[in-house]
Amino acid sequence: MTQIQPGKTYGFFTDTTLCIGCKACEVACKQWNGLPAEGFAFLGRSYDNTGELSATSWRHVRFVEQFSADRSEARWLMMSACCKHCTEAGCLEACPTGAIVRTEFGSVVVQQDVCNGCRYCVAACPFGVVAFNEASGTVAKCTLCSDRLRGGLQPACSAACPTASIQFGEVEELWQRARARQAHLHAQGRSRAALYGGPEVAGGLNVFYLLEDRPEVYGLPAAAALPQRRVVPDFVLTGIVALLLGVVLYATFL
Amino acid sequence: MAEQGVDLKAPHWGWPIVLDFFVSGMAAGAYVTATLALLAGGGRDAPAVRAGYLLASPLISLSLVLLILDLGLPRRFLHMILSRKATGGIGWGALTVGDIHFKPFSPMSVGAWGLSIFGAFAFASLVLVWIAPGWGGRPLLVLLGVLGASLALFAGGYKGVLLRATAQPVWAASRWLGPLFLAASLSSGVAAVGLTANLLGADASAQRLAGALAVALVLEGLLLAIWLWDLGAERKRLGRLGLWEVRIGAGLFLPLGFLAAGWLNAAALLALLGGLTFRRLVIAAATAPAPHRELPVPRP
Repeated sequence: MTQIQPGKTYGFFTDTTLCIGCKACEVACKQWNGLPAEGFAFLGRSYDNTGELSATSWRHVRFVEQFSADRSEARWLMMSACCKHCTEAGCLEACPTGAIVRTEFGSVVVQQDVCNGCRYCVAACPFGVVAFNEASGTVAKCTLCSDRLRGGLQPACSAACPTASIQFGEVEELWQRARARQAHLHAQGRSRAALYGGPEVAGGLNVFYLLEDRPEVYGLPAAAALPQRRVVPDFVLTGIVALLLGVVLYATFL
Repeated sequence: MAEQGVDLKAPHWGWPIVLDFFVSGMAAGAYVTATLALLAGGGRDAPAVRAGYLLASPLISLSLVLLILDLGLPRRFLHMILSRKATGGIGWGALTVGDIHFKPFSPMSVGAWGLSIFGAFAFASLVLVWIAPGWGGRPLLVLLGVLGASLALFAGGYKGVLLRATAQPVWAASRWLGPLFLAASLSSGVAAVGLTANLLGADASAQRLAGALAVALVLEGLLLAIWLWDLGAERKRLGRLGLWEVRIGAGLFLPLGFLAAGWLNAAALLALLGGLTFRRLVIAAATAPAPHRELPVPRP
C-alpha cells in the first residue's frame, strides 16, 4: 500500500495488456464521485457502450476491435482511460479564471466553485478529456480522487481494478515498475509492448500506459506539445504584421 | 471499431462566439481606421473619424455581452480577471494581486484584460468625438487614439492566437491565424466605417475609405492564402472547401469588383458578410473530422 504524502507526485501506470474490459473502474469512479449514469446504449460501432470520456464519465474503458478486411483475423485491445494529469497541462495553462490548479499531489483539478464554463480548456486538452457539463455550467474531469488521497486512500478506480491493470503510486516508482513489466513482456516475445507518456507527450504524463499498438490506435496522440508554447511567438508575429498592415493602411489615408 | 483517431473534444462554441469574434474584430478595425484617418487626414477625414469612434465603443461592449452570455455560468464572468481562489498553481507566470489575476500564457486571460482596457479607450474616444467634442483638443484625441489603436490591433489579432494555442488540428496548424484574424478585423472595420460614414451622409472620406477597403481586402486575401498554404496536411479537414470558396469569392473578390465600379456600400456589405462567414468557418473547423483511416491488424 502506497503511503500518500503531499508534495509527492502520484499517478497511474495502466498496463493495457492486463485490462479485461470489465469496467469496474468506471463503476467505482461514478460511485465514489457521485456521477450520474448517462443512459449508455449500444453504439453500433463497438462492444464498448461508454463511448468517450465526458463530464460525468471520468473513466472510460476503450475497446479497440481490430479486424482484417476479410475478417479472418481479429484482435481486441482494451484500455482504461482518464485524465493524464500532464506535467505540462494545456487545460491548466489555458484556463483564464484560475479554476484549474495543480494540487499538492501533482494532479490537475478543476475547482467547481471558480469555473465559469468558458470551455477554453476543452479545446486545449490534447486528449479530449475535459468536458463541459450542461447541467452545472462548468467543465469537469477526473480529480485523481484528491479527496481520497487526502484521507490516505488510493483512487477508487485503481482500488476496484481486479487485474492490477490500473496501478496507483508515486510516478517515479511507477515508471520503474512499468519498465520492468515491459522487459518481461519483451522476454515473452511480445515485442510491440511500449510505454506511452514520457516527456515527449505533454512534458510527461502522471497517468501513463503500456500499449501493444501505436498510440493512435487507442485514441492517443503520438506526441503532444503544450499549446501555450505557441503564444509568445504568435503574438510577436501578429505584432509585426499589425505594424506592417497599419503602415500600409495609413498610407491610403495620406 | 474500424476507424480510430486521436480523441479530441471541440469547445462547441456556437453563434454567440462567432458573433463575438466578428463584432470585436469590427470594433477593433473601426477604431484603427478612425485613428489612421485622424492621424493622416487632419480634419479632412472627419467623417471617417467620427464614424469609426461611433462604432467601436458600442461594438466592443456588445462583444463583451456576447462573451458573457456564452459562458456556462454568466454570473461568474468576473472570474476572468478576479477570483478569490486563483492563487498558487494556476499556470506559468500567473500574476495575482489580491483577488486579481492575470495569466500571460493564456490568450483568453490576456484577451479579457485587453478587451476591457480597449473598451475603456473606445468609450473615451466616443465621448471626445461625439459627446464633448473639442474637450481636451486634438492632442488628447490623438494620444487616446494612438494608445487605443495599439490595443485595437491586439484585440483584432489575439483571437487567432487564442485559437492557435489549443489542441484542435486546424486551429493549431498555422502560425498565420493571428495575422489573418487581424487582417479580417481591419477589413471588417474599414467596411463598417465606410458604410456608416455614408449612412451619416458624409462622403468627404468616401474615396479614401474605398481605397483603404480595397487594400485591406487584398491584404486579407494574401494572408488567407498564406494560412491555407501553411495548413499543409490539415487543409484536408476543411473538406472540399465549399463555403470557403463562397467566402473567398463573395467576401473578397466580389467586393473588390464593386469597389472598382465605385459601389462602396455594396462592397462594404459583402465584405462584412464575408468577415462573418470567415469567423463561422474557422470556428466550425474545430469539429472537422480527420480523413478516414483504416488501421492494419498486426498478425498475431
